[in-house]
Amino acid sequence: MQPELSMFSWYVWGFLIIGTFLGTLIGTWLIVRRWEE
Amino acid sequence: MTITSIIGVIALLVVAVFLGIMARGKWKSFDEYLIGRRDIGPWVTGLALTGSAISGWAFCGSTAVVYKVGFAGMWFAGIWTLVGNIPCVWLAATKTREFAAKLGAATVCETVGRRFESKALQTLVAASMLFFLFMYSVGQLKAAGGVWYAVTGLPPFWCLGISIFIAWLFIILGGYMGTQWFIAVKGAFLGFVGALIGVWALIYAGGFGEITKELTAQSPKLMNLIDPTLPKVGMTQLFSSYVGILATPVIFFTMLVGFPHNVSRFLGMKKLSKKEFILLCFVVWLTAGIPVMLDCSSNGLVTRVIFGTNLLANKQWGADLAAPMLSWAIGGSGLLAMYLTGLVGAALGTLSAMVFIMSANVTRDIVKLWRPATSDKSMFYLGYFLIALFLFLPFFWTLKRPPELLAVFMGLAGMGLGAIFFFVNVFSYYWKRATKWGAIFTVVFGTIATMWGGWAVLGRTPPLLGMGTMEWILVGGCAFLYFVGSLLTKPPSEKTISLLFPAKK
Repeated sequence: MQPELSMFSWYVWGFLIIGTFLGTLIGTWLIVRRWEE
Repeated sequence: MTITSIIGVIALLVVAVFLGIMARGKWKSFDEYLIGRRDIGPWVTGLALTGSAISGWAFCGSTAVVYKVGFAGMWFAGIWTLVGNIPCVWLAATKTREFAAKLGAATVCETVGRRFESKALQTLVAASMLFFLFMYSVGQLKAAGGVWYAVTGLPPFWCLGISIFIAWLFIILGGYMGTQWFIAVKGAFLGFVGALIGVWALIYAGGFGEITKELTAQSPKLMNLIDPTLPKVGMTQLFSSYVGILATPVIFFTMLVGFPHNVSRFLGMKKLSKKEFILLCFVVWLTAGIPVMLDCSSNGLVTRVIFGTNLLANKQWGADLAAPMLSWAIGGSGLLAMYLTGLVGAALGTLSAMVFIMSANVTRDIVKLWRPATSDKSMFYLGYFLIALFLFLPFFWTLKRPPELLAVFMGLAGMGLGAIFFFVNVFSYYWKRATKWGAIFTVVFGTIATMWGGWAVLGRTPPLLGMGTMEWILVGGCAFLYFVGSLLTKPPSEKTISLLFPAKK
């Protein structure tokens, strides 16, 4: 296997880490914009 | 190395006793002992959720999985931690507080019982929760005890024995408040140590390119996201088949949202403002997100780069040595001591959260429910005894091998707890048509299916089916019975529904 090909797993890993960060931001924003104090 | 590790654990225990003493004057009645004054802020609540969710397994076993099977192990090892913990805050934080306050409930079971107007359901939920938490708690000290012995050479009897005595002391002194504070301090420490080791390990190994090169040289399949050569039944299904891998986010989502010891962190929370809610989400993301995601994936890979398969040659501890040996290799005895302190804290914090609920399952949800005249004094004494008992049993089975049947059921206890309580507790905050019969069917099915699953996936040789398939059966079955059972039966009274689900202005 070529090392370039096996870097794919890191891309998925990075996507998950960044994705969950963005997901946290977006989800929290969606909740608080309808917040009733 | 041994001395610094001992100092670390002693410091942890001193903090625990200090917090217990600090919280001592904060409660006046049994109700306040169980729940505090519902005035805890977002920092302590968020850190306590982190501390409760990150168990000894997450801080040790997860690195071992990836060390052993490579990248394919990360799905089960906890890469989905945030996919569970953040939705737990979104879905359960404010609702748990609101429902418990409106219903005057001091426990999750009491909230469920009063929400569905059923004492029988409260008792059933308490019994099921007690059963699952008991099984889940048995393994909590195992990793800490084993690693402590392997690293320091000192018998775990004293380290864990003193630790559980201190845990008993701070739980009975501090009640909910003291336990919450301790778990929060532990959560902050774990978040810090987890991030430190994760980032340090990546830099030490020379970055992603170097790790890839080294692992590919050892075995190209270590870099694959799925390893089809592993058996597709039993636990390895979670690394070897798409049915298994796709089940992993569902496992983490339902588990971390549904875990009673996670949801209970919100019982004593204050009413949050918008800013405080954002802060709560941020605290959980900061401490339970990135650090754990690193610990559960890249740490195992770096350990494999450094040690190859050498650790597996150790017959007694094997891959469990991955996380401590990594800390030692990259940061010497100082980092190892921090790691060990974190591991003992991780085990103790999660165990304390569970034990506190287990004792309330008996005192508040069974004894007080059916015999309301029982005095607070009797409840306190019974509670102190039960806390000691529930702390002692995991300790005993850490030193002595647990009975075979118990060991088998332990494996799926987390999945069972998640599948049942995601629906019965958290989903019921949002669906007003849910009924007690829907909840009863879910609890009964989930409990029986988890016991059968323990045998079919882990107890039988060869396994009958994979762990991922079992998760789909559990979650699918619980969802079906919860929804269909609810739609076919009568919902709670209009009075309760209008109290809990007021019409929007």
